[in-house]
Amino acid sequence: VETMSNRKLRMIAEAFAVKGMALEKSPPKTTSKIKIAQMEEQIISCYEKSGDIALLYLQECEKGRSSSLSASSSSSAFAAAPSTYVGPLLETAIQRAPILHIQMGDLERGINRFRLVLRAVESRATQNMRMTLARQLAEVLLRGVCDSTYSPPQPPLGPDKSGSLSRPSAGGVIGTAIKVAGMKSANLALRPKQYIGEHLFVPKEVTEETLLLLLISESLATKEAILSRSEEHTKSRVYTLQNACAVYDLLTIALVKRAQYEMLSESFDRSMRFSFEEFHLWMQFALSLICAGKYQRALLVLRECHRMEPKNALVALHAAKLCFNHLQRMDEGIDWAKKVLELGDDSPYAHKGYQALGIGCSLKASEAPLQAERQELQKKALDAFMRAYSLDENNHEHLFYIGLQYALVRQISEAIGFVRKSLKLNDTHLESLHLLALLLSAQKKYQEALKVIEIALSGHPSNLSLLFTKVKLEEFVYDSEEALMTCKRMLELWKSTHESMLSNESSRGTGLLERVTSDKRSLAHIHLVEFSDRDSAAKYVQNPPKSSVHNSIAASRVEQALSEVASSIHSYTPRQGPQQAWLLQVQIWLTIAEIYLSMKKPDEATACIQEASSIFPLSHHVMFMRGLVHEYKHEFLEAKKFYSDAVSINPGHIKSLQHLGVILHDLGNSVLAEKVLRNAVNMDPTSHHAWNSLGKVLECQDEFDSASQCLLTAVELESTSPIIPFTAIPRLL
Amino acid sequence: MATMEQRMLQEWIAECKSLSRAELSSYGRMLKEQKEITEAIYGVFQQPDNELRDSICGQLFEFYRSGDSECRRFCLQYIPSILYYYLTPSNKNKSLDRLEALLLGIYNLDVVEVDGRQKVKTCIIPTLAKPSIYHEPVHLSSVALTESALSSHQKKETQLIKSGPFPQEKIITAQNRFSILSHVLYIYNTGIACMKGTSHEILCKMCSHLCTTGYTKQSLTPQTNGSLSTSTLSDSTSLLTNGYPEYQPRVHLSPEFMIEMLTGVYYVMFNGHQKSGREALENIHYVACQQLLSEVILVTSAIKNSLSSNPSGQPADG
Repeated sequence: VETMSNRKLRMIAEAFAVKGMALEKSPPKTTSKIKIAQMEEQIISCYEKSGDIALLYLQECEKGRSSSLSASSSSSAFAAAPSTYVGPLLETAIQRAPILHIQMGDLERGINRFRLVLRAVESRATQNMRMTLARQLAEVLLRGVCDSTYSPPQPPLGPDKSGSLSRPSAGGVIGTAIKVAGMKSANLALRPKQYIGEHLFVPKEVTEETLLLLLISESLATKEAILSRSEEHTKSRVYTLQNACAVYDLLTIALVKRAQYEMLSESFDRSMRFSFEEFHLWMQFALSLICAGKYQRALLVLRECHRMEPKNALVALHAAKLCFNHLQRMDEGIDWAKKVLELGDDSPYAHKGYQALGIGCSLKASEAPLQAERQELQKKALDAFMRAYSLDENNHEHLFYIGLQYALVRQISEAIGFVRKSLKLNDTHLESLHLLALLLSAQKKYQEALKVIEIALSGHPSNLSLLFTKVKLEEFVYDSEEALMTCKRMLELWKSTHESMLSNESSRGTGLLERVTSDKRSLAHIHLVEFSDRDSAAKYVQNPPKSSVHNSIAASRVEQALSEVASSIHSYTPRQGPQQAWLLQVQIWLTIAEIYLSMKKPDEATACIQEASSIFPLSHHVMFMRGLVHEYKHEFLEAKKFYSDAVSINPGHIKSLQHLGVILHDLGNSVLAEKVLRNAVNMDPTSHHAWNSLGKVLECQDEFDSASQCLLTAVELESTSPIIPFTAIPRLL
Repeated sequence: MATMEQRMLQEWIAECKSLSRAELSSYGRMLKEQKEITEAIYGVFQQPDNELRDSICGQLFEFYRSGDSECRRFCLQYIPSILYYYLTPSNKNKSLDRLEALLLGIYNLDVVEVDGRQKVKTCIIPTLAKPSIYHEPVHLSSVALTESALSSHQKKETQLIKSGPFPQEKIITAQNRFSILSHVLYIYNTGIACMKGTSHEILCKMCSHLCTTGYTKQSLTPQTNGSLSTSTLSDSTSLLTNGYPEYQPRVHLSPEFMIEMLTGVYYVMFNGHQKSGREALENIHYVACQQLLSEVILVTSAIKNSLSSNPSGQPADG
């Protein structure tokens, strides 16, 4: 009996479908608009009826099969198989109705028809169609609906009237079919069963519904995808791949809008199974990984992309960017840049390639141990930036980098010329403004430098990097009290920007931050610095999320490791939160400590250092400041101990080396002092403090010739030295 | 502009000024019908200088502040024109105070609830591990036992995306400019389906314009017409400098702003503006590639790919 009714169902459904198609094919007899509209209405209702009955039929088939499967052997399943095939007739009927609605301009009804079909309990035969329908509805939602015109789907009716999902008696469930706006109430008895339950997820927002549909579609598409690469399957493989691709494109559009890069990269990860040699999917995967912050993996994927399309400049540029900005792989980055340049200067990305090359060389120069190599690299960098500029003259970045490169080799007036040009093109460019201020300070025009900083701060009021420079300048131009006021502002800023982070994790430090920021008095009255190093604060500041610390990356790893060791010893709580943010706070405290020290208030300075060390007990900056305090108090042995601790954490910390040299000299060990200082000037030949100390040490050893040379160098360098090193400005692609 | 339109606008502003708060909201419904006024206001933002610009900005803000949905819509339809004018580099040294005030006002009104609390919008990321009105988890369980499959099984709890709270801002600075503008454009996009064709067209033009100004590739995508004064201005200056191209400064857009632009353009290209929409898309793509903005490239290449080679619908429908 059941099969009979099933067959009947199918026949009725097909009859409606044929009728609909026939009506659609037949040309309109009248020109009357009303008549045509009626006609269209009739076509749709045929399709809708056909679709409903077809879905019901398929559900019945599925039920019949599962019961027969459990009851008898698998032979009956074999027999049932052909009947679950939907057939083009019914498939068209199901898919055509919503599209017709939309073509007639009735978006709302089209969407609701889509929903109705999708809400029907699925059967094996409809899976393929579901995937398409879900994608189509998602498309409509993405392309035709905005938040203000969206109306969410109705929640399913409560289970009180309906039977449970597992035991749907045809009549009972159908009776409760959801009334959707625009549906004809005729033929209620022949409606497919719908998903029903108390805890069903009902989307309330356009994004939610779109994502849900796309996720369903994605999951079906990945399941469908044909992996076999044999000849005979090529056609269907390409077809399924294109389907999946379409879903992924929509998913990208929907997820990027909400900045859900993590989820997007996971989705692409799943697609990799079937996207062998598919450049588009691989590239999208790489980009989503970059956005999600998984740089290491992104680089691997980009390498694969490059293998597929070696002539694609974008791939190489993205890889170079990763190498420089995130992974500290200068050599590989330079190689990538060269790959871009191999494509010739006509490529629209050639200027970018030169820029990448320049940045790579410049960064490498800062780390190069040998003077000759360093000069070579610096020259290369400048040439590359110049080429970049000649290819793209309207780009302020190229001008800025030429300026920065000149600044690094201390050609101050040339540098100023280029920076000014850069600012002409983009007068709000933060780095250019900062560089201009440093250049002015190198010319000892502190007032003007401070003015530039003020201008920059009016555009970027909460930029801590600028504030660090401002503190330094204020100490010079005004007095320490003014500088301390700025420091307090920085603490407040830090607190307000990282407040949310603070609430999420147990806070670190002793709470001095809260006490200071809540105190109305100036810091100078409450009582509590230096931060100028090659590898210090400004870099952390500029881009807290991107670690742009190049030459102390190893050091900060060591520090992190050591801090973790320390945390297991003391009751010190390790932090999971963004390392960089905490580092910033440390830098602020140390800056304050240094100002106090210059005000001859060692106790306040010690308090600040204490605070900093409670956050990062084993930072070389903290060690160095402790050393300074001891040196101030003439406790040379302790100072020596702290300086050498700092150096052992970060052997490239010039300030520590320089002070260590001085202390060693004071303690009478001139030979070692000389060695340490020579080491320092070798690492940073632009540090006039180090040259100066070296000169003095040599002088005491009666090597007057070399001593005078050193001192001369120191004087020369001092005349072009900025208030904080130029390397504080990040070089990022 | 003909003085007649000018006079018409003056009268209109005077009329609006005379309305009381309560009348204003009923006035909203009438606004839709006033085609001439609507067009005239578009015209004001296309001219480099128009003495009525400031008072129109003031009036538009009054409409927005009234809270009436029709009034708001009337104001919002000019967002593309306003952003166009505001971000064009050659307009930089003109007084943009009222324009900024309008943009800032729209932003500030939107980031707080009516009672003054900071607004936080949430949105659920659905998970397939939980049944929904469209599926049952059993049928969709992944075949492969992968790490991500396992983790998605674990987090049966639905994830929330939060947007906000956004801070209220007192002034627009270089630092916060684009986060404010992105938010304003986001507000526009949430109601984009209610906007008229003119507004959509200008949105595309704005995107193309902002992404081509200052780029030499400009010549590849010819400006559709010279109706917008900025392009004619640049032509004349380049003539003055004897053949040496005097570059216009580029507009430095933020990635988040570009993504909002794309959201709008994507909608518009499927709703009657296929050609200018595609043009805008190409221009945004070009700039994103030049600056290696990975998040923007993700979207542009997804859209481009879905337009070029796949079974999904084309801009013709929808």
